[in-house]
Amino acid sequence: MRLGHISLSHFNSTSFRKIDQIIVLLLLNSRKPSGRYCTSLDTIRAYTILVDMYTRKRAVGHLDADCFYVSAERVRDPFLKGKPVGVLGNQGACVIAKSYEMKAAGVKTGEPIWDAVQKCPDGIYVKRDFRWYETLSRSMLEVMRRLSGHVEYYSIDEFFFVAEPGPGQSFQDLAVAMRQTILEELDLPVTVGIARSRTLAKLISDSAKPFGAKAVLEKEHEEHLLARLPVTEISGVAKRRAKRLLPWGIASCLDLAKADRGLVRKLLTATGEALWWELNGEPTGEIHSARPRHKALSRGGSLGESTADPHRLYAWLVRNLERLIEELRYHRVMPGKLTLWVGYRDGIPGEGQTRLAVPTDRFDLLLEALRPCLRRAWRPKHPANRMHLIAEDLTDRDTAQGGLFSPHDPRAEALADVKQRINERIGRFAVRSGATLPLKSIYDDGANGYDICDVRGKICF
Amino acid sequence: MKSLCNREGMTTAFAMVGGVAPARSPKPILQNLKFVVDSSGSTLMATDLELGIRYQVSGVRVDEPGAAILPTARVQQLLRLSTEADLAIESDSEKVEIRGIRGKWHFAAEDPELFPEVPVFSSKNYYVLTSADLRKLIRRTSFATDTESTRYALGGVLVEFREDSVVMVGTDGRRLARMTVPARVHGEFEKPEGLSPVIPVKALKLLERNLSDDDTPVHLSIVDGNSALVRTERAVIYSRLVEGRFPRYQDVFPNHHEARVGIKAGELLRAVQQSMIVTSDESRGVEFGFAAGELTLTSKSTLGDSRLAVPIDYDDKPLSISFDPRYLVEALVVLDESVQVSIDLVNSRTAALFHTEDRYDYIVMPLTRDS
Repeated sequence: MRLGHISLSHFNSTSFRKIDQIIVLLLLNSRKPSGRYCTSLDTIRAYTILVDMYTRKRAVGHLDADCFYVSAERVRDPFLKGKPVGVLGNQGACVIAKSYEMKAAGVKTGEPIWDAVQKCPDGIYVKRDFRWYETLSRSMLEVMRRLSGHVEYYSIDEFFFVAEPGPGQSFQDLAVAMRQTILEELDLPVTVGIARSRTLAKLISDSAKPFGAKAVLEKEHEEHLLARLPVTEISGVAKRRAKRLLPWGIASCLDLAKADRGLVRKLLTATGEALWWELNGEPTGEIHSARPRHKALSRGGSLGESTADPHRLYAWLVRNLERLIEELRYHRVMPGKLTLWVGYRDGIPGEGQTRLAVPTDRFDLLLEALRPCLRRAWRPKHPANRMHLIAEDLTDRDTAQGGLFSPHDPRAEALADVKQRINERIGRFAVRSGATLPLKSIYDDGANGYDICDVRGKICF
Repeated sequence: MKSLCNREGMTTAFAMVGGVAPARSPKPILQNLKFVVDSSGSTLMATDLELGIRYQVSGVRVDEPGAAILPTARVQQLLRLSTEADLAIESDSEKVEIRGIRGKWHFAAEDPELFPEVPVFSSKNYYVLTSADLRKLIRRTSFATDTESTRYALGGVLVEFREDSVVMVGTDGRRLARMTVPARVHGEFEKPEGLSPVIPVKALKLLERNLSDDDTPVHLSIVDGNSALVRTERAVIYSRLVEGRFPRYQDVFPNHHEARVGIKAGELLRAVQQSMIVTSDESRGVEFGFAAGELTLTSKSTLGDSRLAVPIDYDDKPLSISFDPRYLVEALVVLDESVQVSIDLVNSRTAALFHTEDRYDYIVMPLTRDS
């Protein structure tokens, strides 16, 4: 392809984004009204735009809050700064986040509180408060949106963004400035990584923790970094995949980047090939400024104290169903399929699945469909400790399939609306099913009123 | 047992019967087929205890009556790979031998007595209908069923017997297909008691494969209220009925209509298929706008949008209704392209009724629009 006398082969065409390519093609194919192709002046203008587009400074950034839950607690209680702090999860049983000071004492994430206290007796243990963490998380998102035109709310403490330095600013300057802005405005320490792709940006920020700010855009520097990191550092490559790669001599991230693309695809399928492109600096995924539509919605988690009591298990099912309905109604979707998964202390799970006659978000109909699922998932006399309720085949509430044998029931629908409105106005679970009475202690504890999955809009759990 | 079988006849029989034998079963003998030869002919049988078939094999010379158990997959493979015109099948208490001119194969023998009995057609009272009509009944109703339903017995097709006809109804709770064909009673007409029988889809698919598109008579009977028996030209098929309650389907037929439109099945099918091109899992709906002389189909999703106009003979008030196009396509593909379909409409929230002159009714619930 030639533009005037300038050969476009000087440029790496894969570096252009689609829109850039479209503009270039429009310029190439534009004709003067006379029917002649562009004059040399037009060609020069096109070339200038082209060069400007190609040399524009743009990369992918990843910002990750350092020990976010602990940092959030320190924002509202500065006394905690510099001290070993652990944040406790569901019903205070496990450490779900820890400060670097507590990490130094040997406490691990997920460790039971009684073990953590042994290892770190001077530690300060606080109960989780997801409402507060969300408040700070959204504040971070606001700051990020001010600093970048495209921000992806990846998780409660992680963001991907399009990094575009201002005039006279380098990528490194931008990373440092972002870290500093978040610290000054929100008192939260974060680490920023900037690179040519999402995977590289995340690897860079992970390796720069804590309170790091690093931009790596030169191939040599990338390779130096990748050579030091095992493949399991890549988000999406866990032990099983790493084991598959090892016989081919692929152990480090650099090994993977240098490996034959066809081999990587064979070993790790198309998702593995996407990682290969990303490691080689070619972005494969876009930055999602808004969360793509959910394929599935789920509610559940730990039951805290394990139980073999069928009434208590049923109460958990009803609680999770009410939470799920809240989410379904928020997203204005209705499920076509439900799965109930129950985890037991002996590690053998139970599962029940049902396909609904017609999609619905009505409590009475969903519970009726789930009762046989619970019977299938229930293992009598075995203490259950986890439960997940998953809604799939989601269809828009506004254009849902009607049913021949599920007549329109205005009374039941009005009841559901009233329940939703009261809970929205007075507070979550203000009106709830009487079947949840065996879980009084769960409802009495305000910390159980809001969970990480209730933080909406993020891409990842 | 000693017989000489025409390989082609045996291959056809295996293709008809083999699918019934389960690939794995707690009763391993069910994974095989039973081959019986006697003076009255030769029969190949298979059953999974829910469904069973006896198939008359053509081209068999009986040298010594008896029975043999044949391993399904291996013999099927042998029949496919062999180039011989005839194969001898012989068995004794120790082995089964299959022998051609150029080769022979031995399989360990199993006791044929241990193979569960596949019922014979011994009913005195039964319905007689043509093979083509029964095939039509199955094709036009079985696609609308739902084998995953837990609420109702929707995993099969409901059969209603009348004095001069047989009706089949299939539904998944969102759409319903009903077909009526003429039939005559052989013996005495017995007014059915209790629930109408529901025949599983799997049995109907097997039956469909055994039916030809001609006037050959087929016999259909319900035995003891829990199983169905069908006798075709070459086969007897047995099936247990689906347990559970079939919903009161008669109630869902609209008792009036506000608008009626007529269109050729093929024309409507092509229009719906074209409108489906831009639908997605998230946005399935196609909106049907009926107006004077024109049907407009519009669809929109993240993939794009489409608008298609089809001339129709329509002079009722304008009406707009959304459907999941898959439900229409599945119903229209089982009709001949030239068949005239009448569509009765009430409003955008009420089921639409599609019907043809040959007594086929299809009801579809529209997509609701709550926004």
